[in-house]
Amino acid sequence: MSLILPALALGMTVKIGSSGGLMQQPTSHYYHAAYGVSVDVATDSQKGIVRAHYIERPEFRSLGFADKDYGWFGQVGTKVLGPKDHGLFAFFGLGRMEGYVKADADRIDTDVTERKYALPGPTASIEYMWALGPIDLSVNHQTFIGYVSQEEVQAYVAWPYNFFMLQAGVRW
Amino acid sequence: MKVLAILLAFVATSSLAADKRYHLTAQGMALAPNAGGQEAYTLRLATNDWEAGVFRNEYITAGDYPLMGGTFEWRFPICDDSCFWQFFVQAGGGGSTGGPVAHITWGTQIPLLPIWLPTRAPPYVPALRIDFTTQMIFIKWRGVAWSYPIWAGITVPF
Repeated sequence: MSLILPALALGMTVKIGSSGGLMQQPTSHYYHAAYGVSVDVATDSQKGIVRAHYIERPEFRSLGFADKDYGWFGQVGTKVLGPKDHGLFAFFGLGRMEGYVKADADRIDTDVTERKYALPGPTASIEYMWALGPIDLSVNHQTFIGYVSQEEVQAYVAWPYNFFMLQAGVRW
Repeated sequence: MKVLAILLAFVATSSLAADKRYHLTAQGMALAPNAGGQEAYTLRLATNDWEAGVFRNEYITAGDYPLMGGTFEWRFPICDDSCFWQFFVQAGGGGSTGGPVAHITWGTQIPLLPIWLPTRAPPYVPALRIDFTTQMIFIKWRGVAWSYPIWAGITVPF
């Protein structure tokens, strides 16, 4: 609220949205269902947009293990094509993907019951959006490039996550 | 007067040339989710409105050969070649030895000069090109997304 109220007072638009779609995991290349929430603050011309959002995939349980991925992102964007009620947008920013694998100690004989990871890195999105009154509908592709360590970057290693999402939001 | 006329003619010629500027790009190495990255070569020609190119990826194969193909993308500049440092997003598609391919790129071009100039990027000066690219390759009934995170190369505007 500390961000939204001043933005509205300054004549900017604020959008709260939710999204659902697919996340591609970087090592297996499997697609997982994913969902998220976002907050956009934009100028009236849509030339300047700040977006904060969160995406996660549901916890998956199998054979005594449970695993999950989730991430936070902050991006700045602009409209690159189209009239006021629809168009193409580009975003760029930074984010952090995290996740865990947990072992059920009663079923799995192991000393390590949980392993976590956290990857910071750059992220970029391309999005086509339609405005229906105060409701915005959009289709979005986002890629996130997670780095692990200096050593792995020197070995040209990165962990690219891809998100293919449908998004709906309410704009003030 | 003669000097002024020559200067005006030079400015007019420069503006005309600016409208017709092309960018030739060669890229050769990208990070990858494996040690050693991926050798992925591409040769691309662009304007402010579009880019076309061919590519070859030594890391992924179609049949027994490296994946090869060609794409055409529409370019949507955030800061076009009137800027010293360019940013753009591109979307398009094409064909490959693995099947039809959709292509999305976020890119930047940074002139290889030791200083930043408050002008448009100078022609004929090589620029560092860095892309985040995702390709969706449609193999039979499956769409395989493949990323080229930080795909580096050199661009020459002319």
